[in-house]
Amino acid sequence: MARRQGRRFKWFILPVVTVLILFLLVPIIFFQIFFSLHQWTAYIGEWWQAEFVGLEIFADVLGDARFYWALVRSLIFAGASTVLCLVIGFMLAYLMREPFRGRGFFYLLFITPMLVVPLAIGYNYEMLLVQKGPFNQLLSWITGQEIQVSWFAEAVPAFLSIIFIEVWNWTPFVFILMLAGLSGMPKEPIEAARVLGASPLQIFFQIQLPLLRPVIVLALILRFLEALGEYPKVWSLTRGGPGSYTETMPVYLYITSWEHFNISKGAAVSYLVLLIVAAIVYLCIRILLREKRALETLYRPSA
Amino acid sequence: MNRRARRRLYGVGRYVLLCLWLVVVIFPLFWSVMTSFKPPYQWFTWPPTWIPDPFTLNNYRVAWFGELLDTRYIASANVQTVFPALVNSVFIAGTSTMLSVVLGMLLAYGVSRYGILSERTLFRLLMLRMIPPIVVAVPVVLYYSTIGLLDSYPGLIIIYVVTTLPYSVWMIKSFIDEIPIEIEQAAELLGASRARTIGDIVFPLVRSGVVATFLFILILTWSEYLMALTLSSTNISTLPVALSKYEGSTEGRLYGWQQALAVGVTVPLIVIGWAIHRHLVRGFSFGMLRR
Amino acid sequence: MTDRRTFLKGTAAAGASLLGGPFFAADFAWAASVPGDTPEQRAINGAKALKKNVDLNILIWGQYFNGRMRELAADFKEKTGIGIGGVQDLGIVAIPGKVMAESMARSSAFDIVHVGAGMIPTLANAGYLQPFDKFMEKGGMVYRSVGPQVEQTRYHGEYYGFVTDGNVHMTGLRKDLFDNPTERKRFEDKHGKPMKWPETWDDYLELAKFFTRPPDLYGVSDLRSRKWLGPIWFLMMLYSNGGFPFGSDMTPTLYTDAGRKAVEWYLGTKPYSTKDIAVWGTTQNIPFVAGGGAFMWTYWTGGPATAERQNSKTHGKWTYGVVPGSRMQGRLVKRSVSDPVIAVTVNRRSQNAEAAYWLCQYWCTPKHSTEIVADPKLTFHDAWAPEHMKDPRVAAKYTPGGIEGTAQCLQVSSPPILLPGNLEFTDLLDKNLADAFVGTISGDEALKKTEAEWRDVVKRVGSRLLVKDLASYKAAFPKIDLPKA
Repeated sequence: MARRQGRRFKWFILPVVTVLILFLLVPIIFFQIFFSLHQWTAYIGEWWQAEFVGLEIFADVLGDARFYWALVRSLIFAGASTVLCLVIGFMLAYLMREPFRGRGFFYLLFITPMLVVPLAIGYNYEMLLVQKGPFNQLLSWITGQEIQVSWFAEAVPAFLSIIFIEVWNWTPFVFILMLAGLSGMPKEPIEAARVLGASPLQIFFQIQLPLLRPVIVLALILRFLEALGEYPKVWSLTRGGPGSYTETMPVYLYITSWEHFNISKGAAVSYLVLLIVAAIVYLCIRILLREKRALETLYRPSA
Repeated sequence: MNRRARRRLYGVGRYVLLCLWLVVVIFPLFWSVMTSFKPPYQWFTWPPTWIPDPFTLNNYRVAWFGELLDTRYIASANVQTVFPALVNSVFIAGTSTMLSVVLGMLLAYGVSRYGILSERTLFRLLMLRMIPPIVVAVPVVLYYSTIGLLDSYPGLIIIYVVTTLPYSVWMIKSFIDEIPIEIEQAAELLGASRARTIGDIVFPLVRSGVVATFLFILILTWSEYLMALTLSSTNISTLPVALSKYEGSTEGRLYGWQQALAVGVTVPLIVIGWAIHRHLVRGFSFGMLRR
Repeated sequence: MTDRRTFLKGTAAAGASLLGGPFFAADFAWAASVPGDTPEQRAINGAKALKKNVDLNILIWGQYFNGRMRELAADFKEKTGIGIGGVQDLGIVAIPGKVMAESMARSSAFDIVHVGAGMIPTLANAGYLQPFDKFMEKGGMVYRSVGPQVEQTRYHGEYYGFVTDGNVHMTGLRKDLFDNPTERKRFEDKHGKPMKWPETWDDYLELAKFFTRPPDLYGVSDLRSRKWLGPIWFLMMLYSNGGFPFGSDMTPTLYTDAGRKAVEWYLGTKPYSTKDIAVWGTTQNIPFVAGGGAFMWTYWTGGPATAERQNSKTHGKWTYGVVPGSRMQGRLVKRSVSDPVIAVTVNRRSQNAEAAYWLCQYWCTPKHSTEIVADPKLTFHDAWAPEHMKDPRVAAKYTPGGIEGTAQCLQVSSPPILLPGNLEFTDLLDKNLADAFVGTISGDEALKKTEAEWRDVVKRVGSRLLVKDLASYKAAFPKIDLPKA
């Protein structure tokens, strides 16, 4: 009876959702395949007149140093910002896992950066990080010496800036996840360990951390993938400058498609990016499933 | 050091660290709000102007009410109000969020109770969200122009629904998972129909979670910029698109007006986010936590 | 038909230059088939004849539109029933991408698009733009500029738009320091010659070096940042050296003597500017210079207009003039650059193309374009036509010195890379120049890299197409070396 109901339900809702998703996905995939095999520059002729060039465009992209640099920058950007988000978010969550006076107040303010429109964040930081700007002034006050770092004019500071605004924007996400994890942790194992005389450090590393691992891994993956595709903040802050030091993959893609109007190259780059994302996703699915199963067998032997 | 003192030290240390991050969080927000009240000649000064003097509401009047004001820095103004963009944003974000949540709810119920999708597929659904929008912008333009969905409400709404569906399914599923199936079975034994069971028993129990999901996805659709820019012409321009207009190539960025607009665009989200913050904790675990 | 048109155009241009007036004009007053004494009236009558009551959609930046342009459109609506309905207000940087998206979608959503003339070859090639010539004859349009600005809206012999904002670069320097006797004496002692207005870019750098006294004063403050149109300055230097980005077969010709000298000058301002200039845009630069941070700059004419405002620290302390040039060709040649020249264009696929054209004519006649430029509330349109130079309101906006300097620079103003794919060519040049300016690569390497990248673009777009377009590009250059005083 339940199974029949289940099947009815399934055939009721699944087609709707599948049609919706495929409605969007299929033509897009078609177009991307078409453009990566046919050379089309948006202002030369119509798209269906584009000539077939086989894998030439892919070869062109794979031979383009600018593509690799953009990829490397994106990976570093995503990696660094994700790790920092994780460290800071975890630390904040750990400090706030138990109630204390003012916890609600801190919580409210800590989640606010996630709620600010990303484009506005970029504009805001442009004002803040100017050499003769408030951020440098604040640093000067705190450290007591004259700090005049040119955050935009040099490679490393500029890259640090974009990583910083990404961390500022999305630490709340990780923070909330970690807090959920920490508050949802079963008390028994910790109590038992404390009774047995384990030190807080031991409890942390051998009980709490392993229990949190699935959540941590999930946070890492979600953040990393979203950071790979981050566009508005980087674009509005540095537009890929100075020189090309902050030209990450989305910025490169934007320039290729919407300034060079080289639609085919954009499609080929998109495909390669999608392949990379898919590879990461596939790996992550396996890790996540394994983690989840490990957790379940550990704590639900009766399941 | 005895235990008491250690605890107190820990408490103080905690406050110090939290306040440090609080400064980091508040500082840009403070600056943004202050800039929105600055007269034009204080938008970019050395040393930086922290507190506007005098406080002026002109930036808001220009950005939101389109008043023609003779300012002293750039004699310029904008009589185009952003209220059409506001209405569009509310409508598009609201509708797509609603659809996303409803579909997500149905799907989540099916997965949770009947297992209509395998776990692998579920994960793959989540990863659908991870395709950067910039990757699909051009094909979407061409596709939509062919089928006439360019610059139309359904066009943008469909995109938002499809890209936020993964989050809504996952979040709601984790709430439904928490309700023991025994409750529903009990209701059925007592003669309730499936629809009634869902409506009167299950839904009230997950309502707070659904609200949290609704508001989280609203945040995503409200701030989305790239797709809205590409797909909108005169009809469906949204607020983030309007936000990008305060820069010119030879004139630079008009900071005060920009921030006045940005503050106004962000405040609704902040209000909503703060209203639901307790629920956010529960929705975010994506089923990775054992309860 | 073609013969008549060519004949009329020929006489129009010849007539104008005989009168000693502007070098570039399209004056079809005597070809008009629509009644009316002035081009404004003819626009009205032409529109009335369509007997349509329609609201057009326009893609334009609000800061351009919401002043006089909007009022004139409302006027036009009253008189003819054709007005502006939907306005999509986008920043000027976002508009090219947006228009291209519209073009790709073969959309008729917008009737009028206000876009930089640099995009005109690209968009005309894509089939998005409505050619104007037959309407211009019908309506007897009078369209002239001090320099070759109107030529920038011309592609393959057809006009595709009317200029509303004719930007040009002008040099300004601090009169108070320049005229100061102590400074003059020091300069003479140091260099063995009197301090005078920089005639060449070498003089410019020499003067900048003399006045670089960090941290209070820097010699020069010209933009060098990525995405802030750095190539404009480079092109000024290249053109005055007699250089041109391409040979007649579309091989890139940047790594030449002209180009190498130009990039040397381009990078040469680095020691005399603040460090942040590598990433500054107008937003930071204008207040900096207006606040007295730099001695000299070469900038869009709007910049000086702002620096001269009442509350500016350097109000009244500036003197303006023509940009420096080069003696590389054996004689002194000066070249400024007019970019972006923003024009109203009409969508060819619009259902009201002719109606849209009449509104554009109404806006851009000599009389109305003066009103738009002189608008006291919205000051982003910059002067470009002879009538603008004589209008007292415009003179008040730029100061008399500024107007004179503007007129001189307009006479020798040249275009950006006016070819299809302009954004791509410019972006590649921009990226490499920016990389050179921050020190990643040398100036010569930047030129060679750009050449290599441009070769790929030419190969992809097709050199046959581009070779034909060189003619329109070259037609937008001035025909004189130096401005007439």
